[in-house]
Amino acid sequence: MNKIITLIFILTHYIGFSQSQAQEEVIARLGQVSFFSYTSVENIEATNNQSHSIIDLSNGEIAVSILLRAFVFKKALMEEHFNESYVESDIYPKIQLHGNILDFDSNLQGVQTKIVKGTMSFHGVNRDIEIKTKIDNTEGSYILSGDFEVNIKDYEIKVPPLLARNIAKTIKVTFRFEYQSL
Amino acid sequence: MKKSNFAYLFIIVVFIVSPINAQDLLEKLDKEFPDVPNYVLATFKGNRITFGQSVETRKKGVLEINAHTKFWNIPNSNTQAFGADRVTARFGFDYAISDRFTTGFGVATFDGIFNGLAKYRLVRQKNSGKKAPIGITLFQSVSYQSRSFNHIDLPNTFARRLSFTTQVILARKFDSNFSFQLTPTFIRRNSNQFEDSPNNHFALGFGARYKVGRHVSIASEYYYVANPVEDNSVDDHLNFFNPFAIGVNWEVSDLILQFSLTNTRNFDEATNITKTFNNFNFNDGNLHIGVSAIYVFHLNKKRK
Repeated sequence: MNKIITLIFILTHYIGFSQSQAQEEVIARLGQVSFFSYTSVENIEATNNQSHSIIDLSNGEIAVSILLRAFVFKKALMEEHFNESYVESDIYPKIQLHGNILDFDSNLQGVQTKIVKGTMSFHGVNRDIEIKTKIDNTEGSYILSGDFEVNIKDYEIKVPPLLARNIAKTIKVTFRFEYQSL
Repeated sequence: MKKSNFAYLFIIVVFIVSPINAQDLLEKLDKEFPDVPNYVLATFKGNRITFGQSVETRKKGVLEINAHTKFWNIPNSNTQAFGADRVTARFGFDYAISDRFTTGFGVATFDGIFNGLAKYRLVRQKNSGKKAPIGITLFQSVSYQSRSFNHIDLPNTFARRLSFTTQVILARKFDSNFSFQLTPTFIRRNSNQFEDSPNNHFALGFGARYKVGRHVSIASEYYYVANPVEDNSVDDHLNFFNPFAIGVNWEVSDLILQFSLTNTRNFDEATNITKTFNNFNFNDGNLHIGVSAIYVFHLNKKRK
C-alpha cells in the first residue's frame, strides 16, 4: 500500500513538474537597457534594445544576458572606443547576471517591488549585486523595470587621466524587460 | 520496507535533479541570441595607417579634419632652424556619405599637391553569423601637382600634372591586438619628366597595427614598388626608394594623434609610393618625423 502511494506520488510529481516547467519560464528578448554618465563636461548615454532575460516563475530564478556590441551611442566613434578601449567586447562580449528574485510571488497581480540578488559578470569580473526592481504582473505578463548604479572601478574599466572629467565614476543604468511565455 | 526505501531515494533524486535542470537559464539565453552581423571594429584606428590608406572608412555623417605634418633636416645645412630645417603639412578633410562610402580632399604645403579621394568598403570583416574572414576596401585618388618640388618639375599641361592611384585594400584583424593589411596598388603617373621611365606602376603595400595599450597602438607600413621610376639623366641623377614608416597611434575621445618615423615627405599616395627620394635610415636628411592630428565631428545626430 505504502509502495503504491509513493509510486503515485512520484508519477504525479514527475508529470506535474514536466508540465509546469514548460509554462513557468518566461522570456524577454527585446529588453531595454540604457546607461548614463553625467559629468559637468559631457553627458554620455547608450541604449541596448536587444537585451535578453529569462525568469523561472516556480522559484524566482532570473538570468539576464546583454550583448555589449548592441549598445548604440549617439557618436559612432564613441561606440568604437567603448567596445575597443573600455569594455573590450571582443574579449568579454556579454554582461551576464544570474540570481534570484527574493520573496517572489508569481501569482500576485499588480505591482510589487522586490530585490534581485545574484552575480553579475562584466568585463571579466564577477561581483555579487543586489538590484531593486519593480515587477508589474498583469494576468501573467510580467514587466521588470528599475535602475541601479555601477561603479566602473569595480569592473576594472580604466579611464585615461585626461578623460577622467568626461566620464562619470558611477554609471546610472536603467532597465525594462517585458516577458512572454517561452 | 527495503523497496519503499528505494522509492524514497528515487523521490529525493527527482527533487535534486529537477533544480539542476532549471539551473542553466544563462545557457538557454545564449541560444536565443539572433545571428546579428557583428562587424569587426577598429582594424585600424584611422583612415590612414601612417602615410598610406587603411581599410577603415568613417561612419555615416562623420566629418574628419586632419592635419599631417612632417619635419626633416637638410644634409650639411647651416640653418638656424630649431629642431628641423624643413616642415610640410597637409590639411584635409574626409566626409562619410554612408557607412561604406567616404570621400576626402586635401592639400599639402611642401609639394603643392591637391588630392581628392574616394573609399568604398566592399566587404567588412565579420566573425559571427555569415562570416567574412577579411575586409576589402576599394580606394581611388586623383592628385594634381601645382608646383615643382625637390627635383620634380611641374609638367606643362594640366593633364600631365595628374596622377591616379587605385588600391584594393585587404585587411584582417587577427585578434583584438593585431591587424595586418595587404594593399595591391596601381599608380598612373601622367608626368613625362623621366623619359625612359614607365608611367604605370605596380606596388604592394604591407601594413600592420599592434595594440599595446587600451588607447595606444604601434603601426607600421611599407610599400614595395615593382617597377620604380627610373631617372636616366646623366647629371643630377635621382634614386627612388620604397617608403617605410613606423609609428605610434594614440587615440582618445574624438582626437587621434599619430607619431611616426619615415623616409617619405609627401602625403599623396601616387607621390609617396613612387617618388620617395631617400632611404629609411638615420643619416642626416633621411629621417622624417611625422606628427598627425585627426579630429572627428559627428554631424549625424540621428542614430537609431
